[in-house]
Amino acid sequence: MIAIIAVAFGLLLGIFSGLLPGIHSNTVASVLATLPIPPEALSLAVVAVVGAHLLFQFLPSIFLSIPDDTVVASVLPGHRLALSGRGREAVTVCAFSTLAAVCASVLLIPVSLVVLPAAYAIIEPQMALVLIAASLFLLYSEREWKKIAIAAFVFLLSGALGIATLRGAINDPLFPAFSGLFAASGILLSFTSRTRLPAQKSERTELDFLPYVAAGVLLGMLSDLLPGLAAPAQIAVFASAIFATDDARKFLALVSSIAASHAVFAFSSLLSIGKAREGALAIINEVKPIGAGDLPVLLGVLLLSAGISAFLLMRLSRHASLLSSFDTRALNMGVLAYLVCAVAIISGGEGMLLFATATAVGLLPPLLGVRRTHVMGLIIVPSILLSL
Amino acid sequence: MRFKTVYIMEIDERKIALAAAVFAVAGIALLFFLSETPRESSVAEALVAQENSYLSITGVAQNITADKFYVCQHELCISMKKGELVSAQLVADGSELRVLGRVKEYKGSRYFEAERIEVK
Repeated sequence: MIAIIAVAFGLLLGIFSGLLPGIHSNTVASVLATLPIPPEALSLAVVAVVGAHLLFQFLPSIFLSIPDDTVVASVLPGHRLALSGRGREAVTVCAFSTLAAVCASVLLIPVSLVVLPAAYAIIEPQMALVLIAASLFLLYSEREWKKIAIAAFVFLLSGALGIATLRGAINDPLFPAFSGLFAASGILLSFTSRTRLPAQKSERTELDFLPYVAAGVLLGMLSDLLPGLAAPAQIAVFASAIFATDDARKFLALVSSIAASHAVFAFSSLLSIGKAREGALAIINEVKPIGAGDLPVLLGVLLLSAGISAFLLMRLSRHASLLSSFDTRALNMGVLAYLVCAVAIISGGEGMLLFATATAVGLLPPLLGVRRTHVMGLIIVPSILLSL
Repeated sequence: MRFKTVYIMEIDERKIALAAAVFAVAGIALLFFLSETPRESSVAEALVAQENSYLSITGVAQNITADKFYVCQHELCISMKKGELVSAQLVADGSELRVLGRVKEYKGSRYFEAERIEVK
């Protein structure tokens, strides 16, 4: 009975954190870990949070252009589809891709338990070189020299912010950092636009994006090998250069499946190489170490949570047209006020400074015309320095 | 007939970008400054301080081993990791010290990573 309540509670919290920009599933997990919950129930609740968050994070990203950091790359194509009245189709693509990727990744778990340690043994000694090469590739994906220079400036500035953040004594420093980089800066920029969403058409779509889901599953596994680059958004940027496509739906399928398989293979990386690449997983592993025997139950809960969330997400997206009559400015003001209060309470005065600075850094990419993912230098640069 | 005057403020995106960049650089500099400025602290405060806090602690050295020793004030002690500090080799049991370093935590236990040790 406690298990059912824990899963239901986690599912609701995951929906809540997915819908509310700035609240990461890791934040919810860290709050849950402070409550007097039995360790087994805590594990189930946190995994349910992760499953629901994976799906519901797409709603603010697609309809309000406010991303969660794991799927930040989905903001532009997703919102572009919503602005052309195809937001529900975008939701279908994301929900289907996420669910398919979670199922495929769960089936591939036994393979990953063998492959990941072998691949990690090869990559780990060369981690700094891999990270530097991947970062250069990321910058070069801007194509034009002027944009590459701007992207390098944003990347290094974010890296300096990352070093300052990790050297400081700020509680939960990635919360104000990511909230500023992605949520607050996105909200501030949304005030400059008066675009209203048009009425949303049918959710029907073609399934021609399945090869992108398959690629996303493999790339998600790869992302679990790399610290810093673990953010699926980074891998999605590298992948977008390799699997070049003008079809926004295919890119959404790629981003969604990378995020989903990254979450599933985080279990393999924890068990095989001892690295919890998913913050929520690290939190439950600290409370009660996860063993191979726990995998069937935890992955079952993840599948259940993702399945229910996909169903609810599709039902909810039917009402997306209501957003066209909604005062999005008031909503954004509320979210911004919430973020400021949450950062002040969780991270204190220095956290507020970090939040404001990260917001300023987060404003730069869209204003200077480069990809927003370059701000992931915040975690890549410190990772490179630690790997040297 | 009444006319309503509407003022439209046009914002130059380049100016906002420049202001954001200047603000970001200043913010990062301030964050670095705050993270590199040590704070005088007691052992009791160090034991409950935020992880990574940069502190200066004075106390008496006790229980010296090859890689660590304890700095104590009254009844309270905090473990000090010597790292590769040469000055740590000069520390003897009972010597009065001032240690500069950062508060760290491993599996729920607090310790101090010394960056500079002054033996009084």
